[in-house]
This record gives sequence, C-alpha cells and structure tokens, in this order.
Amino acid sequence: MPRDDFASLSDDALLLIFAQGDDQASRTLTARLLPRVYGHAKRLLGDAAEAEDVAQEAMLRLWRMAPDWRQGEAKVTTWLYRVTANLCTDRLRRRRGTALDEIAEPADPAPGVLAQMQTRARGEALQAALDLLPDRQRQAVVLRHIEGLSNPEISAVMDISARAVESLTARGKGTLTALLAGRRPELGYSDDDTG
Amino acid sequence: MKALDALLHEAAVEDVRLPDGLTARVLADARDVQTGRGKVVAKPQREGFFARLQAIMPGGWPGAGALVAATCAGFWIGISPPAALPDPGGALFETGTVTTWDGPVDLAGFGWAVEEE
Repeated sequence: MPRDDFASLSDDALLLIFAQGDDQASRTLTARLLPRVYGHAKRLLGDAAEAEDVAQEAMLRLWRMAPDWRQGEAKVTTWLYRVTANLCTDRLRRRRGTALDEIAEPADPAPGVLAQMQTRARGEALQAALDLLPDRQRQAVVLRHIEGLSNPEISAVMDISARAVESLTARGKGTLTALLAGRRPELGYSDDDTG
Repeated sequence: MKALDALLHEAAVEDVRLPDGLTARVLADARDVQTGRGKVVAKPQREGFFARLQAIMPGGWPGAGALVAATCAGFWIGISPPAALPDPGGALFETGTVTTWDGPVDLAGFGWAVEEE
C-alpha cells in the first residue's frame, strides 16, 4: 500500500495493519493519537512530566492490545481516552492537585507580550481550577469542552449514562465558574462576562 | 461568550506541543512490541472441547478408546453379569439369585492353612 494512503485509513484499519507488522501504521497512529492522549493526560493531571509518562504507557498498551482489537466494536479513541483516564486516576490517587491560590502570579508584563502573558495566565488558571474538581467532573468537563467529544462518546469512555455525563459536566462547569469568579479582571475578562 | 466558555474554547483550540523525545519513545515501544514477539500475531483461538479433552487424556485417542471400551464392558457386566459371577445389583434390588456357600471353608485350599505344631 502506498505510504500516503495510510493517512486516509481509520484507526481500526491502521491498528490491524500494525498488528501485521507494518511500522508505518504505528507512525501514522502515533501522529494522530499521541497529541490527544498527551493533551488529555495533561489536562487531567495538571503535570506535564506525569502526562508524558501516562501518554507513553497508554500508547504502549495500545500496541500490545492491537492483535486482540475487534474491528468495529468500539472506537480506538474511546478506548484510549479510557485507558488514559484510568492511568491518570491511579496517579491522582497518590497525590492531589495544586490549589488555585498556589499558582504564581504573572510577572509584570513587558510591553508587547501582554497578550501572550495573559493567555498563559488564563491557561494556568483554568488548569488550576480543573485540578480542584473531583476527578470524574474534571474528566467529563475536559472530554466535553476541551476534547470536544459528544455526550454519547463521553458516556462510552466513562462507562456512565448520558444523563450522568450531563450532570457531571454541569456541576463541573458550575464549580469552575465559582473558582474563577474572583480572577476575571486579572485574566482579561470584564465583569460583564458572567459565567 | 461567557468567560468560562471562552477559557475552555481557548484550551480546546490550543495546539498540543509534545515533549521532546516522546514521539521517538512511543515509536520505539511500537517497534519493541512488533519485534520483541516477532510479528505481533493474534492469540490462538480458544481450543474446543475435544481439543482440550485430548490434551488431558493419557494415551491420546487410542487411550480414550480403550477407556470407553472398558467402561462399556464394566457397565454391561454390571447390568447383566455372567452366571458364574455374583450379582450384587440383582441382590440389591432382589431381582436376581444370591448364591451362598454352605459347605465347609477350606482355607488350606487357598493356601491359608496355618501351620500347627
């Protein structure tokens, strides 16, 4: 098969080809899936180094599972999000996240980089607030509002009902709003931007 | 757009920058999995009942045949014993005859004689 055609193949098909010994399939799958796995782990853990370990472990499990993958039964991404979340949960049980107040205040902005600093500050504030959410709420909010999964997909990843997904995301967003309420001006939002 | 939604949207569209070396390590793992076990091949299908039975049978199918023959013979002798043999089944259900020995017991005849002075 021409190498260019790999990009058009589904994750399922690539996994099958990988299991037959083709290393180009692993390259395509890695390029496609690793950023999502790493990004998701980083959001759930709030720690880049730990997220790196989790991402590598999750991908390793994917390679090992490839020969047993049942085509068409589930989405590879759903399986990966679940494995990633489980690995993160194991780590979160061993430690708790950083409190919102512990985040370093941004340094005095130099002219011209204010927007960049503010963007970074917003990202850090959001991550710190996410870290304070209960694990399941954080997972649901990240999957829904950052990874962009639909409620049925989240339901499959978390193995809960669609109604439970809605409840978790609503409560998660409510808590995030409360946590970030006092920092609105600092993060570049006016008091009119309620929520 | 509300502040929280704006924050979440910003995070959603942000490009994920992978740490240096992570992709290389993941691909190395993939190669190890492929070459470590030779080609990654599917696990063999679960063996059927007869295959598992054969695996645990001493002597394989010939042994199994002998076992079945012996079982049938024993069963047949049990329900229809030859006249020369006692019929414990018949005795149990009182449908057969019970042979008792009324004569003197000759232990010596079986080599059970106890030597006396």
